[in-house]
Amino acid sequence: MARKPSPSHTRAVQAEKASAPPRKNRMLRFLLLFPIFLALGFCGLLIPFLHPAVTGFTRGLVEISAIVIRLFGGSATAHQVVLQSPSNGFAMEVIDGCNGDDVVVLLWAAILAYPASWKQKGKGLLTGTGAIYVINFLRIISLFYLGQYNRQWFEFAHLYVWESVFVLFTLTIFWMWVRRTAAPRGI
Amino acid sequence: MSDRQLSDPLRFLLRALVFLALMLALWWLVLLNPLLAGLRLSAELTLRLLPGGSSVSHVTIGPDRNWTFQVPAPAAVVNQERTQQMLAASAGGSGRIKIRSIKVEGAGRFPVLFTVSLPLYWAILLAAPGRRRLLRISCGTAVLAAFALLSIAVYAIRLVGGYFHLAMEGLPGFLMDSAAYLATGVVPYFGPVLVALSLNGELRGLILTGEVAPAAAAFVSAGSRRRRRR
Repeated sequence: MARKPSPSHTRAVQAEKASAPPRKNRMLRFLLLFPIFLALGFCGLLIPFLHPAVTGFTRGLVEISAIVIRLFGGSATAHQVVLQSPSNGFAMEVIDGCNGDDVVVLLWAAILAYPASWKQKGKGLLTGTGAIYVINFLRIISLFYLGQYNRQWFEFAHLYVWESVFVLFTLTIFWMWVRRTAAPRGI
Repeated sequence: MSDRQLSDPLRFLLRALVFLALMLALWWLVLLNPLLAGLRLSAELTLRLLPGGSSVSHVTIGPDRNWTFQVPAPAAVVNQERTQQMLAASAGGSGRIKIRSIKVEGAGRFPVLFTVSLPLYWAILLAAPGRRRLLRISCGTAVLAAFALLSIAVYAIRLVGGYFHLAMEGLPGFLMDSAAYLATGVVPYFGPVLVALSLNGELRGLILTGEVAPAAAAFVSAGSRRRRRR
């Protein structure tokens, strides 16, 4: 026989029901907020006075990539946003669109628009952004070696394969975050 | 984190990566040339239908895959003093020069890039749960093809602007730069995900609410059965 719920439990459930907007409304809220945050994020990336910061970040990314390659026994030098192989002269320029910022904007827009606590959002933003930049390092280093091997394959991997894979990874990271944080309570 | 929390997204990712490899191969080896031909035809028809567009409008793809746009010369731009000086210098004469149309050539990699959204979209839909796949694939392909056409338009405007050395400043310049950035760096990759989530309610529900719709149940239970067997 089912136990009768205590009055305090019943009150808590009623309060939760009263304060929680219907699930459909929350979904609608996400669908409305997500494009707004996405547009704001891209505007942020495009605003001219933020360009030096974005370029500075890209320069740091190239420097670290060169260091990582050298740590693992490879040879690479960084000149501003250009990663170069001293052995064969191959050089690749990491431009603003290749530094992973676009994908981070996509993830941030999705996480910020999703109904969850600020603590959960903060955790998602930090871990998600970290994961994206780790994947981007792998991407830059793999492209650096692929470019030395075959230019056509480099173009194909750079423009079509890695970018698509990156977006799929981002979608999965967001999905995992939703599963981990908000989904058990429902939205 | 529980097994279930991780397994559905990871299973989707693995399936999507496999389908992406297959779809990219299909796109590159079989579909790319017909797609580019269709895009070229649509771009030419759009140019002719636009106000001021006429029989002088042509879009051709060269053997090196570079695109050539022949478009009516905008009178307001041609009559500018700076443009007249430029035209006079290249024609080697003096006096007012009239031109009906101009030809500008652009790198072929961009139109190819505008069609890469299709294999990514197909891979996502094939990896995701849901019914009426064929209908959704057709609708999404049509939407992404329209995006590709818009991107071509932005590309052509940039090329024409570059030909006349038009330096857009202020808000028009910012909007043009933004449109070019979106067309080449954002829409081809993010468009497929957004279109897939818009058209596939089961995938959207699974990601956003964790709810398992009837069609998505098979997707989830397949993974659960496999785990139970282990």
